[in-house]
Amino acid sequence: MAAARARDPKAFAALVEAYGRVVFNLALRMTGHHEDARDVTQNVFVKAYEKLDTFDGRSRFFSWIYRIAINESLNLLARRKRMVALDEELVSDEQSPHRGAEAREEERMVQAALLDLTAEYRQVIVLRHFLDLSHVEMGQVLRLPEKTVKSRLHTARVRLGEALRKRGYAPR
Amino acid sequence: MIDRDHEQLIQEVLDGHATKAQVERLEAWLETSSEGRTRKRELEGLFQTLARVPLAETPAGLGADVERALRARAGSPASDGLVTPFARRWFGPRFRLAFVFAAGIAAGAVGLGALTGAFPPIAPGGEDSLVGTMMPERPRTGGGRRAWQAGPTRVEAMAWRTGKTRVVAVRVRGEAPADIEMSFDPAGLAPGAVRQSTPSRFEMDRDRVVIRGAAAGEFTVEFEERSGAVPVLVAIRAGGAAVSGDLPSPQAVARLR
Repeated sequence: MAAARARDPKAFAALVEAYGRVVFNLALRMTGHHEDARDVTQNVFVKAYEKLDTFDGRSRFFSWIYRIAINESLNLLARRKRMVALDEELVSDEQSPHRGAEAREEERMVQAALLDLTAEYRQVIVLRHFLDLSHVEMGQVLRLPEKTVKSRLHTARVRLGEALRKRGYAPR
Repeated sequence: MIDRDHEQLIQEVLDGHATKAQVERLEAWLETSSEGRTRKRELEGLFQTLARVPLAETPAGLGADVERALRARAGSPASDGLVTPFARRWFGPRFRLAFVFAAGIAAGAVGLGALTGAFPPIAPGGEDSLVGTMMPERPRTGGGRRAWQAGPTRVEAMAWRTGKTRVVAVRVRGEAPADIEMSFDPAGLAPGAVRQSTPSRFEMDRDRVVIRGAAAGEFTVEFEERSGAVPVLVAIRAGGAAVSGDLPSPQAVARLR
């Protein structure tokens, strides 16, 4: 970390290697779009590099970079709101071609239901269930008290279940 | 419908954050509430469904893309490595403000030129190329979008319509240069101009446009649209691999919505 802050290219490349996948997955679940997630991930690391000076080291690096990732995802979603949405079905699905059709359909359904949630509910689901953060860690990323995180997560799960049912899917 | 207190209690237990006392309280309540047992099963199903969604793989070439983006922002040559502290000082706030101001004026001039015809697009067979970012974030109106992976190179394309012009924007990512051929029915589309962020050789015929050895970068091809429904067939060769597919017409995309 110290080497990365000293602008050591190899150290920063190691950070990209270490956090790239998780940041990409966070962005993917927040935006619901592979290419957007890729762009968000790239922007996250560019911003992280440019703002490494502001990372004070008191908080943990993951909470700092995940917060940037959430903000970047929200910025992209805000920009996208002003535009006509593309039909996501038209984007070729190159992810995990070896997985079964049923598993892919389930993933698609979950992603669609996630996108039905407001961003504040979606982000807690993503942090808890896809990034496996504890409530305390989520509080650090979102800068919220643990109690608020829990309450938001409870409501988010209720809403996600409703969104899945509305789409005719019963979680099993 | 169970009350919020019990809903939270079930979630606490499933989340693994419950105390022993909370677990016992839930078990006692579930023994007396069939509604509670149903709700617990539903929530267990939700937890398991979410757990089954796999982590996606990191996109190929992400590290290289980040490095390239940092170099581009620093304006340093490719051999310099990542942005240096010196470069960061040089590209300080005042310089960036001036740069943004100058870029705004330039963009305005180019936009005005394009509208008035003062800066015409490159004609077929022309050798000049415009340098800069041309890949739009999203088409403002209906558009089609596709992505292909040919060996180590990823190619993303999108098409949209502006008046009677169909614009196809292509972004190439990865290390291996790509040959990209776009073929189409000349009765429906007539190629008009190619713009490239990184100069590469291109050929233009009445029924196809070929970009040879396209390096990482972006290019756009403008077509006069005679029939809205004609797709563009895209064939890509890079790093010894070949893939192909169609880029649907914006009109076809709009019909599917």
